[in-house]
Amino acid sequence: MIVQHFFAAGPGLQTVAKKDKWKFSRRSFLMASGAAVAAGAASNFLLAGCQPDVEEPVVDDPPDEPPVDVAFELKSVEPEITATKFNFCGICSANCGMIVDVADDKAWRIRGNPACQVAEGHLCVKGYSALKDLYDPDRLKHPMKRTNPEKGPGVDPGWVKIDWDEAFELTAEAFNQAIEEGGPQALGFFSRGHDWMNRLRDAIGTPNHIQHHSTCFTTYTAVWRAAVGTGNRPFMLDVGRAKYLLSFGWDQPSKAKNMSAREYVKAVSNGAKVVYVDPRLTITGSLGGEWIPIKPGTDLAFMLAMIRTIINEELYDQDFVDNNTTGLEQLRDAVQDYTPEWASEITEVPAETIERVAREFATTKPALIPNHKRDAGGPNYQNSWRVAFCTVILNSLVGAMDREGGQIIGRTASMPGFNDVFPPPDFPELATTERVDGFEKHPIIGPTRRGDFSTFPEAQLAGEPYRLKAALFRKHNVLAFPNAPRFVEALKTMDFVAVVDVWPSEMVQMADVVFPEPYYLETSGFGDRVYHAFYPQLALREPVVDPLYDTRGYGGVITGLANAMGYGEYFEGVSGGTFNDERLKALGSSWEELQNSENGMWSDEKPFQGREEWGTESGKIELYSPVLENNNYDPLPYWEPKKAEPTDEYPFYMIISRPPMHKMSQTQNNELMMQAQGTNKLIINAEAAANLGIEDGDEVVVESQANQVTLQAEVIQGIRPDCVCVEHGFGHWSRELTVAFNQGANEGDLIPTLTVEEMVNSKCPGAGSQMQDFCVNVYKA
Amino acid sequence: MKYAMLIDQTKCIGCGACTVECKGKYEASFGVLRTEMKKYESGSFPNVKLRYKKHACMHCFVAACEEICPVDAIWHVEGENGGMVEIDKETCIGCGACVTACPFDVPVLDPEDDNNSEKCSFCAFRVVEGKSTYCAEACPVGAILFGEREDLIAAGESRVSDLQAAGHDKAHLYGKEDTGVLILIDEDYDVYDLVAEGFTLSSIGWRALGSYGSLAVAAAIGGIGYRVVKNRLEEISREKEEGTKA
Repeated sequence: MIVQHFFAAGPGLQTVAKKDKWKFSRRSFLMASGAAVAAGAASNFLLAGCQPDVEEPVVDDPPDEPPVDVAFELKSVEPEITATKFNFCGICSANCGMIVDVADDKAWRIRGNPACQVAEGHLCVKGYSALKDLYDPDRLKHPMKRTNPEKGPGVDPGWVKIDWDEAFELTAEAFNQAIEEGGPQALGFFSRGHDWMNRLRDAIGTPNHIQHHSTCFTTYTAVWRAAVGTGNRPFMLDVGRAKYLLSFGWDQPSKAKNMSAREYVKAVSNGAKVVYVDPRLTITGSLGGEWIPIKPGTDLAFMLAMIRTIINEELYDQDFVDNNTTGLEQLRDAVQDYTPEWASEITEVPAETIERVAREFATTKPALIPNHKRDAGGPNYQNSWRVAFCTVILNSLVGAMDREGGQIIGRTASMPGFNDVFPPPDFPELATTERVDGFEKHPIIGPTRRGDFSTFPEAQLAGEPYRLKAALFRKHNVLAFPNAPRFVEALKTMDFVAVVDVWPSEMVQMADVVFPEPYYLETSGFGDRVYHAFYPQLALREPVVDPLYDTRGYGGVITGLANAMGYGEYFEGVSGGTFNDERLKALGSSWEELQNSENGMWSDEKPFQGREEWGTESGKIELYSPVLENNNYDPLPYWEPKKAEPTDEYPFYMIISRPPMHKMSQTQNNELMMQAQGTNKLIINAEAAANLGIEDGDEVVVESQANQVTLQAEVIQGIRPDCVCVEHGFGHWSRELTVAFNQGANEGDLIPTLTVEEMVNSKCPGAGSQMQDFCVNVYKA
Repeated sequence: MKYAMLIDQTKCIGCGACTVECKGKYEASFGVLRTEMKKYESGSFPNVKLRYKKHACMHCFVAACEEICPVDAIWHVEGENGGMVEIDKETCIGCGACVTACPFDVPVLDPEDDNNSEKCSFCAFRVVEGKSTYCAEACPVGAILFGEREDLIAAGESRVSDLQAAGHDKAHLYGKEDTGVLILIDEDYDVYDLVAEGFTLSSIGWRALGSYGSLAVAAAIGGIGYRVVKNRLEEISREKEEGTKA
């Protein structure tokens, strides 16, 4: 063999140092393969690799025999595991149970907890990557204050390290000054609901608690509150047992939502039929079978025609509808004009397809229209809440509401609340009920205090009805806001911004004071199985390693702040440990028992039984909704088109998606996830691209009425020619995020903001942010 | 080979859980991956099919990389639980011959590790002890199975029958004769950038290659690549076949 000839030609391969060997060998190649070169096999490889840097003498003697049969050893990469800890994932709200293997105080591996009904022993790509978050060297390591008063992208904040006392004092002073000058309402809390934070908010008496949910799922929440009377987070599904899945943009498997992906693949493998209705083909649609590339924002017409067919042909589940719903007669009357032919004109789907799907859906059992946040019924278009309503109606007509293979109302554990365990001193009256973002103007969704990201920037910039002077931010990044550059301008109008975060995010770049918090793997507590709870189950969270940096949990930050601001009395006697213990005791367990549990879980396993009682006044699912009617909304999901249609100036519909490897704009500094997907692209149909002279990989500009971004084009077949799609999460401009910085672009910059008046006039009971109700132009950069 | 992996691409959602779980365990430069997802579209709008492939070393029974390696750094693990194809980093000289030789375009050179060749090791240090691979343990949808080869082939064939009965005419278990990794696909193999089975990688194929050995090695080292050789071999095979028929 020629390879042996190489060996024989050279001295001491086995014993020379690696570097010398490398040089030597390259040289040797040149000589030995001279014949091949002469034969015309020259190449860049040879030319590039043939020159040794330095001629170094080789000191070893040549071996007697060519070393051909070297015995290699297999090397283990695994350290000795010294401890195993229970935790649950904090990246998304599914909260999958985790088991973490630790080697000498260093976490080595995360596995899914088999005892957890969400995880069933596995995690998603994000969960498996979490140790890179924990050990991310870019993490915030101590409190900081800003010295550069200028703020914005590209501006160095001039951080100075401070201690916790100074951080609390500076923030308390600024917050109290804001309250003094503008009243309690001048202070805003931009944060997910949190018991400690909610208490400080109420002690201060500000109405401005602004959360992201109107960009996420309030269209569903509003409809469920009105028509079902329960389910603030109506996303639990029994996909695995369904035999017919009709998806209107429900795409959780391709986004790697752990339980959805697992159950979906199970259903498809068991022969479930899937019809995937979406302008873009994803792996959800393609594994399932039938793809219907519907015109964007017209799902409502498809569903109304389905309702008509199912009712007129009496294909609905008579028992379920009789016993569990009201309003069928009004619904029947309301949908008579919505013929399949009418819907076909709007949706560009053949009438016979709509009719066939309606019949298949109603006659295959169990059938389900799954939903989870930003699908066709999410806050994408002005008419999306009607899609959410049709989802409830259609799932009710086929008896899929809280039944096996259907949409489930999570069986969560019933525990005392924060105010039950720690009765607070009286809270003051709200200074005003009028919020900056106008969220109180929506009677059904307003009381949830979710808040409105799309209206806040315009209201704040206009100063109408008033301006926030200061705010505390946590877990809501700049990139999460529609038209992020506009939001940055709005932020600049505040006197003081405090941010609690794990990473030096874009929001941190806008901060005056930064409170670093621990990564969830460093914290303790327990969590409910909200998204996949067939029975009540709680998961233990124990610190897998000691805290790596000088961080404090959110509850601790709030308490420190409350004390410094003069609201300490509201937190007297309050402790996380007591709270955990008291809540568990109400279930007949205790914090100690949970900590010592063998599988990291508290479970109250009992057989699943579909509910017969619903939370509305009638005790039924109200297909005709008096609650909507009484609050001046349409009581039935009549047809309404979406707002934006293509024009010469903006000829493409815009679709926003999310890749499986990332959680929104939160994970792009994670090296592992970024190696799985490191950027986003402008996804465009091949024919449309050809018309524009765009080839795969070209730089393109995407432009909306709000902004423009530059991306690389990804040319595909599986998207309608009148649509383009961009995945969310990229375009980070914080230079302190060394992995995420400058990768891809933020498609959210393109989303137009709304005024409070525009939002109110859109008559959406969920005040959805209409994240895709705009069109874009695309051209070669 | 006692153990195998079965990658069921008709279940794979392309999420990359295997990619990150593997990369988190085996150190290599940023972007140098032992396993990654590749996306394949077939057909044209609106009749489009989308599939992913877990792109990683197939652990060929007769491995082109092993045959071509000029310093014998690539080897098959011996013993009852062996059969996996490994690269010894201490011996590897980073020449890239295996990169050009591999019919599946798998190995990559790691620029921050002396340009050493990097690829999936089939978690051999675990498998020789009868333990599963990291990627198979990680996969959240059960698309990567680890187990005894005979059992996996039986399970795979059964799944293929089910898929064919459900109308997936092209369902096929790839690699039964050739590779330590079995792939279940429902499209033609070339859609997934796989090579024809039972020929290029078989011992017969390599015997044929043997007679053209000098050409093969020179071509691989010269960067012309395996595919030139493969094309020539296909020619030879056709000629032989035609000869037999005549």
